[in-house]
Amino acid sequence: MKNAYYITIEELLKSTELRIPGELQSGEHLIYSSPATLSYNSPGAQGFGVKRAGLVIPESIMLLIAPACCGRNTTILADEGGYSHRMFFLQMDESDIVTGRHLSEIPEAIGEILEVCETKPKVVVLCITCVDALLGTDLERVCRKAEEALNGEVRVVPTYMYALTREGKNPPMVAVRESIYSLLEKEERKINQVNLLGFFTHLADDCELYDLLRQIGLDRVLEVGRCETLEEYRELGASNFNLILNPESRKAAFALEERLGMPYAELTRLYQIDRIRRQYELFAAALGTEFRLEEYHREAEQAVQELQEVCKGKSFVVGQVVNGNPLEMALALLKMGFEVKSVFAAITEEDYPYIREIGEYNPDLRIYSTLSPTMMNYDGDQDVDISIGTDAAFYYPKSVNVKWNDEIQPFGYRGLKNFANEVAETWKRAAADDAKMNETKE
Amino acid sequence: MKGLRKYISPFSPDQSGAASVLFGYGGMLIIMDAGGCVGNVCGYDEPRWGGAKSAIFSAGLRDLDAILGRDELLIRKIRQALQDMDATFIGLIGTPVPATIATDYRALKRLLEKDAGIPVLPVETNGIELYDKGQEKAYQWLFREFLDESVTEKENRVGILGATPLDTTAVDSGAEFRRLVPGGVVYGMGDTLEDVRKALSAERNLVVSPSGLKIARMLKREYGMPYETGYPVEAESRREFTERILPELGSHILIVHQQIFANEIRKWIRERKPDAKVTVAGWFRIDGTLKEEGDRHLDEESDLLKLVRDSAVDTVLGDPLLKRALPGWQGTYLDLPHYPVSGELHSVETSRDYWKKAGHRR
Repeated sequence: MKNAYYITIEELLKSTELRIPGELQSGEHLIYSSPATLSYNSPGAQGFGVKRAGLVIPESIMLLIAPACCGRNTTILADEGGYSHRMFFLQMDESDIVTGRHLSEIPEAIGEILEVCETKPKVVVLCITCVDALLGTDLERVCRKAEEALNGEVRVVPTYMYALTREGKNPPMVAVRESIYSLLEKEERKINQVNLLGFFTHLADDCELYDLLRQIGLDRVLEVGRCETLEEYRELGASNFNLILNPESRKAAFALEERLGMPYAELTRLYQIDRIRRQYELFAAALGTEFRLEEYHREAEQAVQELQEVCKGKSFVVGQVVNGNPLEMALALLKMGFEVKSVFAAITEEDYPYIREIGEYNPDLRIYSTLSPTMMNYDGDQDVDISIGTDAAFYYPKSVNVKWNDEIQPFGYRGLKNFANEVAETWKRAAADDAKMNETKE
Repeated sequence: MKGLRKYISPFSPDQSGAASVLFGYGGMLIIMDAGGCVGNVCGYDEPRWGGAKSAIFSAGLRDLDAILGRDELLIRKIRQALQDMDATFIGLIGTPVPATIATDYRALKRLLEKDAGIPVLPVETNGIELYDKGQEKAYQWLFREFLDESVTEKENRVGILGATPLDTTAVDSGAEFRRLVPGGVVYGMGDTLEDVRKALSAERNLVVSPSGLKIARMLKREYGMPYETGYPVEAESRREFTERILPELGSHILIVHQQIFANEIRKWIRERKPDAKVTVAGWFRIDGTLKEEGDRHLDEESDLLKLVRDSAVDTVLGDPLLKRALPGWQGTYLDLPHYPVSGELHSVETSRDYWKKAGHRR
C-alpha cells in the first residue's frame, strides 16, 4: 500500500516541463471522498454551490429540475442556510430522461410555485444537472418559452449544475457567475460607479478597497451580495467598469463587456504585504492616479509583526478550503518567517510563480491533493502547530485551527491584517486553554 | 403536478441506500458520478461516514467519458487506486449519468473482475428511485456474491435484514438489535462478509424494514429459511414514547415512516387504544402483505395533504420536515424523525436519544 501522495516543491520544480503530476489532477484518478473534500468536491457543495449561488439574484427563487439525488443535500444546506423557502424541485423520472417531457412542464410548475410563495418572486432561476447536460438541453430556450407562457410575470434565468464539466472551459462555478449577471441591461453609464465581481456575498465592511476607490472618485461601489432588491441589482448595469476579484468571474466580466460594453480590470487577493502594495500601485497607475496607501500598509505591517511575535517558531499547514489561494498564503507565511510544512491544493499553471518563489524559502514543502485516493493512507507523520482551513484541520486534528473561510470576504491590506490578528488571537486562546488545563491537572 | 416539490426537498435516493448497505464491509465503493453524487451520499445520507475511514470514491466522470463511454479509463483509475488500498470487493453504485448513457454494468463487472481479481458488485441505481430500492438491489448483489450455499449446519443465529442508519433510529441501532435479539447478526450494521457467507446458518431472518423483504423472500424460496417482520425496541424506550404520545392522539392517526417501523408503532398504539383508527402511509415501499385496509403508498408531495384531508386524519406522526407539506391543516403533528427525509437535521447519536426526542408535538 502506498503512503498518501505528495510532491515537494523541489521535485515539482525539477521537472523540466513543469507538468502538474497526474496524482494532483482530479480527472486522472478516482476521487477520494472525505470530510476534507465536502466543501468543494461538488458544484452543489457546502457554502456557495451552484444552487445557493444562483439565489444571489435578489427576489429570486430556484426551481431545480433534476433526478431526486441532485437536490438531496439541499434538505440540510437550505435549512441551515435559511433559504429552503426559496428552493423548489421538479423531480425527473426515467421517462423524462427518454422523452424530455419534464422540460415542457416547467411553465406549469412555475405557475403552481408562484401560487404558494408568500412573497411573490420577480425572478425564477432554473437549474439543470448532468442528465440534461448529456441530453443537450437548450435551457436558454426553455427559459424564454417559460417567460412567454407566464406573460412576462417573472424573469426566468438559466443555471447549470454540471459536475461533468468541472475541468472544462466553463465549469459550474464559472457558469453560475455569468448567470447571476445575465439580467443586467445597458443603462446610462455612471462614471462614479464600479462593480466588484467575484463573490456571492460581499467584501468585509472595513476593507480599504472601498476607500481607495472613493479616493479616485468611484464613490458608488456595487456588489451583488449587497443587493436586497431587484431594482438595486439592476443598478449594476450602469457601472463604469467591473473589477474582477476572483478569477472565476472573468467569464462573467467578458460577457458584460460584450453585451453592455462594460470594461473590466482585475485584482488578485493576496496576503504578501509587498505584493498588495505593488498591485494597488500598478492599478492606480493604469488609471492614471495614485492611492493613499500608507495608513493601511502600516496597520497590516503592525498586525504581521504581532503575529510574528506571538507565533514565533511555529509551523503551519495551509488547506484548500480558505479565503485565498493556499499557495500564495503559504508564500506569505514563509515570507513572514514561519515554517510552512504542507499545502493542500489543486494546483494549476497559474500557481507556478508562487511555486517558484516558495522554492526559495522551503523546497521541502509538500503539496497534497485531498482528492487523491492515496489520502486514505494519510498517516499524519508531520507535527504542525497551526492549520489554516477546515480541510487542513481534518488532516492535522491536533493543530490549532483557523478556518479562515467566512462568507464575508477578506481582501487587500485589511484582509491580511484580519488574517494575522485572527491567527494570533486563536493561538493565544489555545495557549491560554492549554495552560489552564495544565493548572487543573496539577 | 407530477414530480413537483413545493414544500419538502428530495428524500435519500437509491444510490445512498445502496451505499448504506455496503458501507461497512471493507469494499471499495465507487459512486459512478462526476463528483456531486458522492458528496450527497457521504455528506448527507451516511451518518457513519464522518467517523470512519471509508473507501468511498467518485468515478470522477467527465463529459467526454460519458459521451465516449471510456470504460477503459475507469478501469485504469480503479486499478491504480487498488494499489493504494486493500479492498475485499468493488461496489459500483450507479447514478443518473451511467443511467442516461446506458452503461453496461455486466460488462464492467466482467472486465474489472478479470483485471482486479476481486468480486465486483454492480448496483444499478439511477438516482431517481428512493433509498429503499437501492438497498434492495445492494442486498441482492451482496448475497449473490458472498452467500456460501454449502453451509447447512444451523447455529444459534438470527439474520437481521433491512437495517441501516437510513431505516433505523440511530447509528447504534445495530448494537441495540443485537442486544434485543439473541444471536442477532445485523447485515450492514456491524457484521462482516464472513457473516454474509454464513447466512444460511441462521435459524431465521428478522426483517426490520421493507428493503430487506426481497432478499428474505429469496432466502426462504431458495433455501427454506423462514422470516418474520418486526422492529425490536427496548421496553423502557417503548413505554416512555407510548406514554408521551397517548394524550396527544386523536381518533384517526396517520403514521408516515418506513412501513415495518410504522407498523410496530401502530401495534403499540392499538395495545393502549384499541379503538383508534391508525393508518400507515409513506413515499417509500409499502409492501402489500404488510398493509392494512386504508394504508397507502404516496407518490406525490401533495398526496399527503390529500390523504389527511380526505380521511379526516387528526393526528400525524412523521418526520418534522413533512409537516411543511400540510399547509393549512390544523391537526396534531408529532415528531417521528426519519433519516432519509430530514437527514442530520433531526438525527441523534443513539436509539435512546431517538425515543426521547420522538413523539413531541411540532
